[in-house]
Amino acid sequence: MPQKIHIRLAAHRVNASVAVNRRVPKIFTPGQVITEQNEFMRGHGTYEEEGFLKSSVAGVKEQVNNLISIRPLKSRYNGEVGDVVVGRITEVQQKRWKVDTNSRLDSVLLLSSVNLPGGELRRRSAEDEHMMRQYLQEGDLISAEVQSVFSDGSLSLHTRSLKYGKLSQGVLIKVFPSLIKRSKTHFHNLYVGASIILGNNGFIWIYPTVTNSEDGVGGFVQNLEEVVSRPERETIARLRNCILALTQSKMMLFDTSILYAFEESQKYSVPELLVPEAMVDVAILTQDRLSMAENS
Amino acid sequence: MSKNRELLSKIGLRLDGRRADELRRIRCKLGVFTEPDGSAYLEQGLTKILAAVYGPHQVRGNRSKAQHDAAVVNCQFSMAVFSTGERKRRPRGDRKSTEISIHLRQALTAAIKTELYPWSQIDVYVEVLHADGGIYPACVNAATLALIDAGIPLKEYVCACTASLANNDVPMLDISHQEEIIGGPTLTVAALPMSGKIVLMEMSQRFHVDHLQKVLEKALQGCRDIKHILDEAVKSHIQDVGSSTGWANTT
Amino acid sequence: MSRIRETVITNCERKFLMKCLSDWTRLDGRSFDEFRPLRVEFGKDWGSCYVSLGKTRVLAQTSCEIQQPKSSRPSEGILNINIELNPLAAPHFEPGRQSELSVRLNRLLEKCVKDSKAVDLESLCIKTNEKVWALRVDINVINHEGNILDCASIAMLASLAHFRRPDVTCDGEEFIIHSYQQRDPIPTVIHHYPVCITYSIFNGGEFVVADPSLTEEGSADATLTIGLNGFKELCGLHLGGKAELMPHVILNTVTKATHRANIVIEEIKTSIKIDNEARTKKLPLGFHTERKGGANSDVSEISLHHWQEIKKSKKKKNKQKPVEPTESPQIKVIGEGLAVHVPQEKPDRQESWIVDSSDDDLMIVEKPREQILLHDSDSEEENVIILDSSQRND
Repeated sequence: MPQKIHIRLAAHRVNASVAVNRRVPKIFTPGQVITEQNEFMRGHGTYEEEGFLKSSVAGVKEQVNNLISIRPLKSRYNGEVGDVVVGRITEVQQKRWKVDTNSRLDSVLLLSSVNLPGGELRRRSAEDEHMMRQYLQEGDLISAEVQSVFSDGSLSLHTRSLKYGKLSQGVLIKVFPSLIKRSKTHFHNLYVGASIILGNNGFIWIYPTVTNSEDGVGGFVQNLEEVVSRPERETIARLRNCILALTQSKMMLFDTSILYAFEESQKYSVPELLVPEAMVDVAILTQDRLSMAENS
Repeated sequence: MSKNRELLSKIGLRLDGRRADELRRIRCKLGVFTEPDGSAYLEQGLTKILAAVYGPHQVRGNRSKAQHDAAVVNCQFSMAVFSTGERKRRPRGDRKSTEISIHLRQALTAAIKTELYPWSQIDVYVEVLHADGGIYPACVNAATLALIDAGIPLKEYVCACTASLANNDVPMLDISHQEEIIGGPTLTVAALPMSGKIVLMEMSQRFHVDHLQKVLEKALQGCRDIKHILDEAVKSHIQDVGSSTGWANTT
Repeated sequence: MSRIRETVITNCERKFLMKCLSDWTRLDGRSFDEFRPLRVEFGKDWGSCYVSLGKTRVLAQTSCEIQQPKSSRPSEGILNINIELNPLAAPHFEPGRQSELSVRLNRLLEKCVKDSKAVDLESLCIKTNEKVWALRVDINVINHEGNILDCASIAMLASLAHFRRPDVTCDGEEFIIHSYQQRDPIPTVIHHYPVCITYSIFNGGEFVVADPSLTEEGSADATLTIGLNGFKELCGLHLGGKAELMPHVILNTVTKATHRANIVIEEIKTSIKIDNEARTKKLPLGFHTERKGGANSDVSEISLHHWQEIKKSKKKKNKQKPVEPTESPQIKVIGEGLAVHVPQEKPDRQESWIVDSSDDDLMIVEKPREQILLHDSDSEEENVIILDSSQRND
């Protein structure tokens, strides 16, 4: 079957920028002096030298009372307690799993902070340690919550809720963590027929909506037998392409923006959404709708 | 054949029409890839460089390399086989590439605040697409941009520049490949231009000790100029991205 | 194969070193700009050179062969430089592997000699586009006590300057390489003598220390290597390490280095001259013949670095000296930092030792003599047997 292939010259690259004119805050770059006074406390992204407070990253200033910090627009995931993350198991160790969460250091998921099958208050026996690889093995994807942050910056996760656990069928998208908007909930059942987990760490998981939420999520059951219907798969694919379009134009990702993009993308077929022009078009339309909603 | 050609003509113009203290045109772009944490593309004259930064992340492979008080900086320099006039046999691994990798790491380690990331590793990959003289300085400049794009804390920009001595008297800035061949001495300096500190210095061929000061000053001037150019690029990139995201998550 | 790790310099050592430096002293008693004693010796072969800088020792050998020239430079000979760091010098060196250190040293030596065009490569051409001489300098580090580079650069240069290649004549079609006996070999043309001079920099340029020892090298912030020739021309410069320096520190150091360069170059030239004279006089050659102690004197030499200090603590030192207590030795001061130790009673022993020398011929040593070398006041004494070379002259 002949297929249409697009090969473009570098000169014909599409400008993906959807910047809108807004008040631009002051931008600091590494080495730039923020303030000469020393009554301020130095936060992240700053350092002190010869009595000056200087920036160490390129970004914008954030000030809380006396604490000044510079937030870069893009960086590795900096975990905070309570964040929802999607991660991948990289190693099974004694009593714990190592999880790659796009953080500076690998995160840990302790055996004691997961819900094992057969009741919450079950004691963890030596047998459970042997069984660890049966529950989660290398390469498995999980959703979890940040339980605590160690002094060296690595994260400790837990899955002690029914909504967390092993992920089975779905699609993973990796975006820059700074593009995920923090909100009350990061689990969304979109009305279009799919669900989405927006991990704070920039890992996004799209999966078919589960009708009865008692089984499936929250444990270590991975149902790979169940066939996801074609319309559902198309919806998931469209969602994925919409998220890619928004990411390409560096737009924030949250339920509204994704839904808007999904609605605006209806005029394109799913494969067409991968053409750069279509992606920018969707992004621009979404941006317009968002700013309209903001202004009204 | 090249003996009768002079590096600097009587009216003070160089072979490519520049003045002695003129840089080649620098064009750069941040965030050219989506997969790495930070990336940059930089053109300095005809020299074209791509740089990608991964990290800071957990030390992979040889765990014993991990340091308890600082991040490990790992640099890999590679030249595309088509980057030079004569096709290169292999892109990396020869002595010259290894040397540049070592020097790159030295310059970047001086600028990165490694003490913030114990047990971690930062990978910097630099690829030369087109070599036209001044490869090392262009690599340092591109890597700096990629590090800034990755949001890795730096003390300040680290910039590098070459300088030479024309007609045994006039210091020249930013040497092109053509001028390298004709055979002026080359002084390469990587510096932290804001504080004026030198983090790496290197020279080849020969000139009299007395000229060192003015050539060095010229090279440092070049570093400062480059810093301004890079700073402009970073600011406009941040502004662009920030406007798209709507400066979200900011107060 | 398990690898031996490099010896780490402990925090104690580092702190002590820094404290010493802030009192303007160095661990081995040198002043900041003082270099360790340099000795250049030559072997029997042309281009075989042994250099010791303090306890750092390097052996260099130049060899040559005929090759086809590079297509880009059809009328120029080829110069290859290769430095070998084998475990003989330090346990953490791995044989046959290109470590970062060896690449760095190699590139610096190449820059120093090749890029500055010290060797006249065009004179190495036999026939354009077809045959040129390819010189190869192999540098073996024998002992690593800091500052390999200076030592290696001196060895390389002395070896190149000492080397002679066989003469070649052409009778129309064929090239004839004449052996050394048939025709006098030809020396290499060297335009200028570039040597590397290394300084260690501490505390961001506060302390600049010449010719760093192993401990100093390991705890320094940065090392500044300056390639210089006799005409005060820079032939390569390298600043390595993690220090951030202000430009004036570098400029000051470069000025200091020019004096040292001249001394080193003179030393190389005199050594070659002495060696050439010895060759014309057909004196015995090779490393086993001691230049200083070669005369038939029955004194053992002790060169003490700080003679005055040693004298005060004579009792303590005497315990370490392998001198029999029955002898009541006299110590004559020859010059500054040098004294001769003359045993009064000589035990009347007649022994014959067979010593396997670096050459194939065996030599019989008639009398045991001892030479005690005290390079540093803190170092352990070494017993060096002076081999009697009179056998060969007969």
